Amino acid sequence: MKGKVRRKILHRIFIAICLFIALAPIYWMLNTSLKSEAEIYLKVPTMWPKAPTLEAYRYLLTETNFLNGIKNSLIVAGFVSLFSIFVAYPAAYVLARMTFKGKRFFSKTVLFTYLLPTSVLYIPLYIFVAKLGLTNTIWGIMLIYPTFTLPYVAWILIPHIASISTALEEAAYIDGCSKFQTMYRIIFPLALPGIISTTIFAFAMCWGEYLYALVNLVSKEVQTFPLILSGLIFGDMPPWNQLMAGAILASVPILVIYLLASSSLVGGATAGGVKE
Amino acid sequence: MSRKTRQMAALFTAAATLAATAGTSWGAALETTEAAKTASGDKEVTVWVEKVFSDDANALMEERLKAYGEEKGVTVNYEMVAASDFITMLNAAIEAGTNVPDVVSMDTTKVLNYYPNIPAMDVSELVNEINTERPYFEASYEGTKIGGVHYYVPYYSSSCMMFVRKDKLEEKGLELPTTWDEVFEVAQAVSNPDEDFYGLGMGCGEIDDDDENTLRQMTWNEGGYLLDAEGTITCDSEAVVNSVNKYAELYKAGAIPADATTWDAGGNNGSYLAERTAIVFNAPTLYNALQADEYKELFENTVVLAPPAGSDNSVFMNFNRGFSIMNTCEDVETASDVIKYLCDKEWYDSYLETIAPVFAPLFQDSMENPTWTEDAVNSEVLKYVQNASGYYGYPVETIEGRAVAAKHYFTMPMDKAFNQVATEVTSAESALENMKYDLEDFMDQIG
Repeated sequence: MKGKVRRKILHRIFIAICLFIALAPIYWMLNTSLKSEAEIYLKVPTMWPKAPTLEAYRYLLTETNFLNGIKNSLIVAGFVSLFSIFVAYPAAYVLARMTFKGKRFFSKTVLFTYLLPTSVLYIPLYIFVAKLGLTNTIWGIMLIYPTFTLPYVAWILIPHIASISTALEEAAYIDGCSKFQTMYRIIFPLALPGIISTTIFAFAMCWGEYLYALVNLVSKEVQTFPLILSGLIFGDMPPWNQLMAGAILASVPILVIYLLASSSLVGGATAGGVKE
Repeated sequence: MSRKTRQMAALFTAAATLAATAGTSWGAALETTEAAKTASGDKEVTVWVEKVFSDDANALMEERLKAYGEEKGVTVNYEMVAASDFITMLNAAIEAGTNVPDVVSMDTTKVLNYYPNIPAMDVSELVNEINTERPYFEASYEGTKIGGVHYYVPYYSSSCMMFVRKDKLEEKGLELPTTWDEVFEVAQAVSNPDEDFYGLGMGCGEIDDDDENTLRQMTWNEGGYLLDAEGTITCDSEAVVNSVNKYAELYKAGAIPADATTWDAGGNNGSYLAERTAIVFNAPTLYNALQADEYKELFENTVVLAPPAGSDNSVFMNFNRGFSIMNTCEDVETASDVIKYLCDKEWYDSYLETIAPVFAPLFQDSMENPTWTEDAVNSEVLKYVQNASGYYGYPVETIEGRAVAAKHYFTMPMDKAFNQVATEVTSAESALENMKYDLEDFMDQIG
């Protein structure tokens, strides 16, 4: 009994340590965003603001293009993540479920495409977008971002779909479903928790993307929020409170989407569906 | 609500959020943006200006470019680009060979980094024309030539001033230092590591470009150079070894903060604002920061001076910046005209007034301008600019040597060597021997 209690206490302590490690940087962002510049540069950093001020938020929201940047980021990240799921789900389904010549090759290609570093691709993709006359428009980066979200989404969904019992599909065929219907009416709902979490990750990848946006979006009217934040830095005196306020505000949409979707991120939907 | 309905609702929440947030302005964001464009005309020019710290100054520059378009009937596509993003964006455009702007902000180090494929035109004729109308300081006119040619029109210059806590010196009855030896003496005298106070806020972190410049300048002033005039490597000379050892000695003696070896460019000004250091070397951005109400007392206890002289010379680093016309520009006449328009005396002087003292003018008649003569700090900054003749690789004269030095600079070699010796990783001789190999590698690359 004593041992059980001790184990429980140790578990709690471990969870508290993990939580502290995960949340401390976020707390520090919030803390810094509410400080004046003078307080940020104090000899001994203050654990909470001595005189909390929303000045950094006011500046960001009223004196810069930050809100417009957030809007542009939402459009790009929202469109690209949904588009990626739309395209990558059937691809992942095919690679997970079907047997055909070259399946291994296609499967590996998806992984290798995902592993290509941004620094190698940004010039060729910039040229591609320029030839289409889409530089300095968010259409341009909507075209570029799927180059990293599509392979990512497909790669994550392949094992997820593969983990769903084939017996359910076989039952669907017996009941008269076509391949297409099985894919969308049977497997899609069962894979939904994975699809939603992958969509959120794809959204987050586009949300914070910097390099492609940097070289393609020159005008402040079309820039995404990371570029607006980067534009606040001049020389060796970064306005840390404004940068942290921007980071806090920019994390809100991701947080909201995650909270709304969290009820769907529960596994076990297929539990008991098949009698093995 | 059933589980399935909830799941579907969650999936489409993102789309709904987007629609709600974006509202009616989706169209505006999706259309090809040419917002920063002046009234249309037959001629067209694209200008990328590196943003400066002041929103007012950036707005003035935008207005000026807009006025040019309206006045001359030229379509001016202008963009104010963040300094930290500028080179990446320009490089992408140059590499792709498309959407390259016609006129861009430029400086000597940027030009040399492109050597031997310098993407900017020789604008010596334009510089001479401006110089005839309104003579430049000698240091700005001659100091911005690369291989005898101007690749950019010098426009303004930053500086690196010495910020001193006069109250701390007065407490000890010390005079303001004017030489590096005096700086070191004062630094040791006012240091009190037990109370986390240090005389010299000079860092050597691996990405500390501020102090990379200061360490170079200090070494030059004491007669140490990485290259000589012909381009021969001299970084292992006795004078350079002595400078490195002097820094390490001060570090070990507690005259420099222990964390200075980990600083970035914000380290020295951060230490000064936190009242941890008595002397730092920084651009006047620190002076601007000090003017906030919270630093009233520190501001009153601060004096801003020209950097100290050494036992050999008092060469200051030149931080001139200006405008280049890119090789791909199809209408050089209009591009030149835009630059001349930005050099109009009346407008130029009012513009520089808004960014004083971080950037200073480069023209001789500024010495009669009350903005630059009556304010003590502005006047010191102008004197700095007037005498700033140093550059990466100084005193090397060959363009190949300067290109080697410019590329080598981005590896922060002085920071690296001073750091290794201060932290006792290696000896000065060994650290500088390694620097020599690095320089040889860059020489091999340049050919």
